[in-house]
Amino acid sequence: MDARTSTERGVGSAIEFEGFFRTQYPELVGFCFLLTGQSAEAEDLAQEALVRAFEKWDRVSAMESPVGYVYRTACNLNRHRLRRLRVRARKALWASARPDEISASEDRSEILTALRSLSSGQRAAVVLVEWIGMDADEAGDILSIKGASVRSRVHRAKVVLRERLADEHD
Amino acid sequence: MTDLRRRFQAEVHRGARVSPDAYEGVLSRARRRSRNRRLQVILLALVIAAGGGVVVLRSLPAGGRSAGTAFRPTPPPATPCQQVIPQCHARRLPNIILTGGRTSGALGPVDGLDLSRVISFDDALRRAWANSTHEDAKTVQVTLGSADATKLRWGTGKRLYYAIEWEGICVPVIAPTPVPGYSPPPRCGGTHWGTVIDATTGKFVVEGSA
Repeated sequence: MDARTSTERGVGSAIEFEGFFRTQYPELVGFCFLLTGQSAEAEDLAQEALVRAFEKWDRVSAMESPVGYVYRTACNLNRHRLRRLRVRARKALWASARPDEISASEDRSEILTALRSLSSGQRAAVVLVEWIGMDADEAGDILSIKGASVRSRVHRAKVVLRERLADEHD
Repeated sequence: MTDLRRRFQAEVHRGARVSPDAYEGVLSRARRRSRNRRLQVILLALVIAAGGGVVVLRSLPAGGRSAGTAFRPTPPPATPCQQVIPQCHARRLPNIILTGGRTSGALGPVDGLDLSRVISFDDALRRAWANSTHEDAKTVQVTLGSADATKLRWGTGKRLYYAIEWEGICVPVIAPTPVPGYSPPPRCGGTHWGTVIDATTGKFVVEGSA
């Protein structure tokens, strides 16, 4: 039986979370940045994903892959964010036309522009595999798809990226 | 390292920002949310789970004067949802104005409050949709009521609110995969969604499922 008090457990859990946070945060922000193309948005997504992990840290830390949990949460949050942006874009048509947040990142860089041309699913898959270095099955767990589907997404994404990046240099 | 990976890395290095106080930010965000969450969950559950009360209200006469002496405002007939929002396929149930001491979840009667400056039922529906879309909803109903905004932390004083209740939607369960390599099929954790809109300003207040 665990003889520690709940306070001791809470403190231990907080220390454990802080270690997890410090290790994962920079790379998670990088992942979110490549998904969104915006640094502020990326930090916000990463922090929100980690807040959600912190809120149920007892459960998350007991999972096979707490890292997978935060990446999965970040992907889901990004999906919701894109949905909100679409709604906002529709509202902007009713009100005054103003550039949305997606087009705001248009002039960022070749690689971000090329990433923008991918579907959000392809983008997440290629960034998880190529940037984070996950294998297809790990990425599949995060995206709730099969490893084979991840491989196919990554393959298609790389074809598009190669074409786009080659165009930039033509 | 692949060329693509190198380019990703260079881009992240160039553009991504990592705040030094991010950890404190996360803790304070979690603390703030934990303070508000319990109250909000209870309120949302009350707003949405009050379907039973709404059923009773539906059977009320459309408007005019009640058997008692109090004046009861008449809700306007409900415009089909698709006429208000082209993408909406939900059947619009009759509009409701809570009166005569009747309540619906967190909302109470509008008795004694000035209804002359509220936005329309259709406008409230439009604003709820602008906040979150529900193309798969089977029915939608708009209810006008009042609430103690100070007590609920929605604002100050007693104010008028619209509750927009969507029924028949799929509220997906977002949960971690317990077993690596296993991809569970997407499942619905609920069929209700409720949105509260400030009836005077038209501002979004809160939304969620019960």
